[in-house]
Amino acid sequence: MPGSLENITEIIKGCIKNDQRYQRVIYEQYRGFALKIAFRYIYTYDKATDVVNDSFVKIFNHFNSFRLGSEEENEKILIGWLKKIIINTAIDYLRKKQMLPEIGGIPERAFEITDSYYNADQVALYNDLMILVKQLPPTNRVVFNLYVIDGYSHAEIADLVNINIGTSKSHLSRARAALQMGIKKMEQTNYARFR
Amino acid sequence: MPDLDNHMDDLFRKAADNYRPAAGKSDWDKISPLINTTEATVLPQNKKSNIVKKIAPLLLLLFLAATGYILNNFINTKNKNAFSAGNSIPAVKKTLAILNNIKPEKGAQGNTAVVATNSINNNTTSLKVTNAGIAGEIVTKNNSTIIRTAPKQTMNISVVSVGDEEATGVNKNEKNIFENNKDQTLTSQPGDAQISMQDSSIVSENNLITESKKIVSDTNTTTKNTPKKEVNHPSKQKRFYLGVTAGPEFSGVRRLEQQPGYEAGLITGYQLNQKLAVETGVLFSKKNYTCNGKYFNPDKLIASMPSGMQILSLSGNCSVFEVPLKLNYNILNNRTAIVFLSAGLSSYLLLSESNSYKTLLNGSINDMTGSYKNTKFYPAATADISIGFEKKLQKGNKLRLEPYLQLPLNGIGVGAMKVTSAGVHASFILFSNK
Repeated sequence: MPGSLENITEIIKGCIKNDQRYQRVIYEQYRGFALKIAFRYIYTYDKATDVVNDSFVKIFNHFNSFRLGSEEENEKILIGWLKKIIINTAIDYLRKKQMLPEIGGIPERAFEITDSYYNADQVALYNDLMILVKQLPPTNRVVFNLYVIDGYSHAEIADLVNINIGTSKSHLSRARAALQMGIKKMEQTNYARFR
Repeated sequence: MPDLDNHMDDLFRKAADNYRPAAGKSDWDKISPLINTTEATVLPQNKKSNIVKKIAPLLLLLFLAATGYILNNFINTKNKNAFSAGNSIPAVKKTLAILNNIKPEKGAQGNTAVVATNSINNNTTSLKVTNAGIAGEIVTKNNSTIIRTAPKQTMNISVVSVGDEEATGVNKNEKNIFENNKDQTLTSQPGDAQISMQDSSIVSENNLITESKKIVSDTNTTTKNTPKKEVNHPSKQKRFYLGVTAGPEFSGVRRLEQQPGYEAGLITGYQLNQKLAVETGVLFSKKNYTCNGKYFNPDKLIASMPSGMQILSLSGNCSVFEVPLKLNYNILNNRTAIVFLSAGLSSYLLLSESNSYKTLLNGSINDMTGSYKNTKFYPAATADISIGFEKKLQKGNKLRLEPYLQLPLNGIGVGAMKVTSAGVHASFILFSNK
């Protein structure tokens, strides 16, 4: 989650007026946040950044549809709005690719070097867990992300991904099973301390 | 794995919040052109606008040069027309007929020459002339012409007019004048010589009507040269002037930037008296500057800067229209040159600004650029002082060199920077005949 901005309401108003100074602030402040979302859905880093960029273009071109709330709520509303657009853009991208499984590994450069963090091991663990999610088949990955992490209901997922509710549940259970398998493998190799 | 099974969803939620994909570089430059904007403010400059910006100063200078050339030609043509047969102003025609055909009397030494044209308008024309070394003045007012000389001096003048349509009219007028002379109705001003006609004849020659007259001032007086005393009519002095100016300019905050900008434009002024003139104008100025970050007020940029970012330094340029208002005081004024001191204020209309910032964020130094197109007016932005050197040319025109210094009174631009400027104006000044 990006750090809060002092004048988020003013920045949002600037974006509504299409002022690029404010648009850039939003982009710079939230692109890391956006990448974290997109990279959960999109397998390759480069494609994920493309989805992020496409998302921001959509966001800025449709900022006039943003509805301001109270001063305290505006950042939460903005984050929720950004998240929704990023997820939709990511799913659109996967749908264009017909939810075909990706090939190739995920390079280490796709993640930040963690040596400098005091909780480097923990971050490495989180990165590996996300790699497990990314290695799921695209539809399982989308359903797992939407349901478990992003809090969508199966009805919403069915509507969004254009599948049945039952199919959504099925994908979720397969995703969970695959992840449990993956975690077991991780546990056996590197992460005995994980429990 | 019972604990893992129970808390797997929470674990992945935590992982989703805390995993760290590489931040990568900003793609703002890539996406910003795709955004529908009404105010393009932080955009990379494209090649087209760069080319336009590069040739704009050249175009401006060409425009100014052309303007100066046209103005000069216009004024010269106007003066010339005042003495040509086609001029429709009766008083000028009459003077023309006399002036164009003044010839030295036989045996007299020296040539007839126009010394100065004091004024020309619809009713009155005044020309200072010398003939055979004698100074005089021909004044044509309404339907009468007076030749003035110093007391006890004689000026002999032959008048020949061309017989085309316009000149015929002139001839008639001339004839009327001289007939008036015959009738002794031509008035003589106090101190002027009495004019009388000694000879009159009309000769036709090659379709030209030639009228030859000899006019002698103050009958029976002797011709004796006396020092010429020019009559200066205050009401007929040239007071308004217009000029084109251009020159290099060095600007900066606290210290002047080595890379020069430039300034060019039009100036106009009014000569209050022999010593004082008030002057204004419109000048386009391109100012290059560098600035330590502490002299840059980031208040207007806070909203567009990441939290914690500090501006270390910046270099940039801005385009402004300057409107100076100043008073010139002549400290030296001789026949060929003028030296003056000048002081005044300049107001700025800021057109655009482009800055390159060196910033510090989270311990790393980064370069950022910002372009701002918001037009803003800054009244009395600078106090100006200068010293000017003017070389007098013909017809009252002047060439001027004017080193100047502009001290900031108010900050300008997005960072409210107090920009000092210094440079030299090279100007061509045209004086109006009115």
